[in-house]
Amino acid sequence: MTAQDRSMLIKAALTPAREVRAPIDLAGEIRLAVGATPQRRPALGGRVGAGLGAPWLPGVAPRLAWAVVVVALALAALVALAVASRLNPAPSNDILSYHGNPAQTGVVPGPAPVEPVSTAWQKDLNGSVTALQMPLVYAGTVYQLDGHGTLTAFDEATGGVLWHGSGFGTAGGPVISGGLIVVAGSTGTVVAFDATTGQQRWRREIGAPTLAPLAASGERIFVGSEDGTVHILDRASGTQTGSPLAAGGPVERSPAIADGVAYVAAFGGHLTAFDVETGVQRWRAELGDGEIATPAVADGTVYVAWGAPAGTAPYEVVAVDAATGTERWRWATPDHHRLFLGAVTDATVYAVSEDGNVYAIDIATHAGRLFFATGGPIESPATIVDGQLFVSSGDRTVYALDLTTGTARWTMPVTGIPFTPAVSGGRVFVGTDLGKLVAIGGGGGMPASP
Amino acid sequence: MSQAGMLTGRTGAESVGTVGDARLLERAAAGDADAFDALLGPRLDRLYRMAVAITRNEADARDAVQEACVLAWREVPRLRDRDRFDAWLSQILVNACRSLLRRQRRVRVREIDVDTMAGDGGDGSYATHAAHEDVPETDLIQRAFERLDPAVRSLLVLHYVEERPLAEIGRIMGSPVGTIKWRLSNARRALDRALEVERR
Repeated sequence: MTAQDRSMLIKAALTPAREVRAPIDLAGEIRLAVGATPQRRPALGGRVGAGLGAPWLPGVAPRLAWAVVVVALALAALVALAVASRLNPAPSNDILSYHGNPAQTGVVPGPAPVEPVSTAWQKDLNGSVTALQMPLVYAGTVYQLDGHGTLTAFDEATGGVLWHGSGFGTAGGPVISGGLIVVAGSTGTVVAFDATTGQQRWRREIGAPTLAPLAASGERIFVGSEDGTVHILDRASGTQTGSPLAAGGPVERSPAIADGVAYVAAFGGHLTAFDVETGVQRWRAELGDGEIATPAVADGTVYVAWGAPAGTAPYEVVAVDAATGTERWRWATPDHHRLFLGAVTDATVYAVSEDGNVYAIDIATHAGRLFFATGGPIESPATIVDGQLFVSSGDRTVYALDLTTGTARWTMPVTGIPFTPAVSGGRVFVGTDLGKLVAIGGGGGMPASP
Repeated sequence: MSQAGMLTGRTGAESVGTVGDARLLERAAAGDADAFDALLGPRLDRLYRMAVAITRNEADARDAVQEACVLAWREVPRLRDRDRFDAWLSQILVNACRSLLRRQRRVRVREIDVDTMAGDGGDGSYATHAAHEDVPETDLIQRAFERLDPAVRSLLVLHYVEERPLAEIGRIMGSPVGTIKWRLSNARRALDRALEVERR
């Protein structure tokens, strides 16, 4: 049977019969439900200065003009507060790269929100967010890339749009280093913006599309690409530094960097360690033909989630010696769903799965157990702050799980499916597949103004 | 993409196809429920058939379509890139189908146990098993399909039934094109293996 015949057969089998049509009363049911459902309108603050489309302005009656003045004054005060916080940033709160830190353990300083929590603000993006597009936080600004290739900088306190940039196609995720935010995309273009002003500093073509989040170490920016290599660019100028690192397959995940070594995961199950300074390959571990997720490094061990071609074996967490590439242990999921590293602590690897579960794997014994079950598939890494594991689930909910008790301290429904949470300054930031950036805050709120 | 006179195709539809649609979308975004109803009308059959293809159950499809349409109504004022209304609506529907199937999975698990399988069955030879000569191959594929993960089902339907381009599937599924290619390859193999189970 030819591939074309096979496709035709599958199409014939899966296509509903010609007579299958929407039930005649379905439209009426939807009409009733729509009539009872209020629409969510863009907030005024979300559009001020956004420049992401035609401005939306509510009908403001002249007699309410005073209210506009009051709002403007309040916004001005908030902007002043934000400017003050940018002049006195708290570096320990910043989330500068994918999965929280260069080693990609997902453990960040926080602080976490103090309960009770609520939605501090929600803003529209120019397109849906994907699992590899985690919000970054730097000096009082939250940066979110979206699926349409727009990078938007929001004021962390108010959600007001500070600037936006584009021109690199769709992309995986940016990295912040040396006051620049660098992003690469499907057009093979790498662009560096001034993180504060949004002004473009440099632009380079690497000749291959990039879908992976970028990584940084010192003066170097690491750009994984579809051509099976990692390009190393000088942070200040964007020029190529040395030869691209050969990863063995398309690189669609962000490299993990620790102790002067970059650990690169490539499709096909290749995990390779490179010296950051020289680019020399230290070792390569072949995990087996399969899909490989974002790696993490902790205490001399590289952890990565790996899955064989569908149905042949369960997905696994694989632990590899960071110095030698020797495999130490594997832990397999109890089912056959895709698996991702949630976060890694000194004692435990938390793995998250498309079966909706969070698993806790004891690093000492390699024994795994069900830690928590959410109500939907989990498709992106998690974050650990202050003894809590923050998980975004396909049930359109962000969970804060107590690492001691394994129970939910709080849950927060959001608009759309959320992806990797960034926790900083007492707030949780998540992008969603419905094109929202949501800030969840609590009693702890923002850091006090200086 | 929103060129005057361009009709929205049944498959691969990515844009609001007509000037009339664009106006309806503007009005719907402004809170006009009748405009939203008019916008939805010509799309309802396509949405329903896609939901039936993914869920393999008309009652489930009905629930998924209703959930998706109500969510679309709620969110349409915030849809900035209105040229992509159809792709956006498809994304919401696929997510609704996946969520519905995930919820059901907790009650009704019917997955492949690959540990008990022999051989990999990955050659795509669908029509050569004597034990099921009396069962139409399309029936076997349908039964095998029902064993698959909701995300895999959605991917297969978008590719084989809806014939959406990979880039659009990527946008709908929230993954890069390279990942979609990989997942599609895996999805075919998963279907092969599910077929092996059905043929026993």
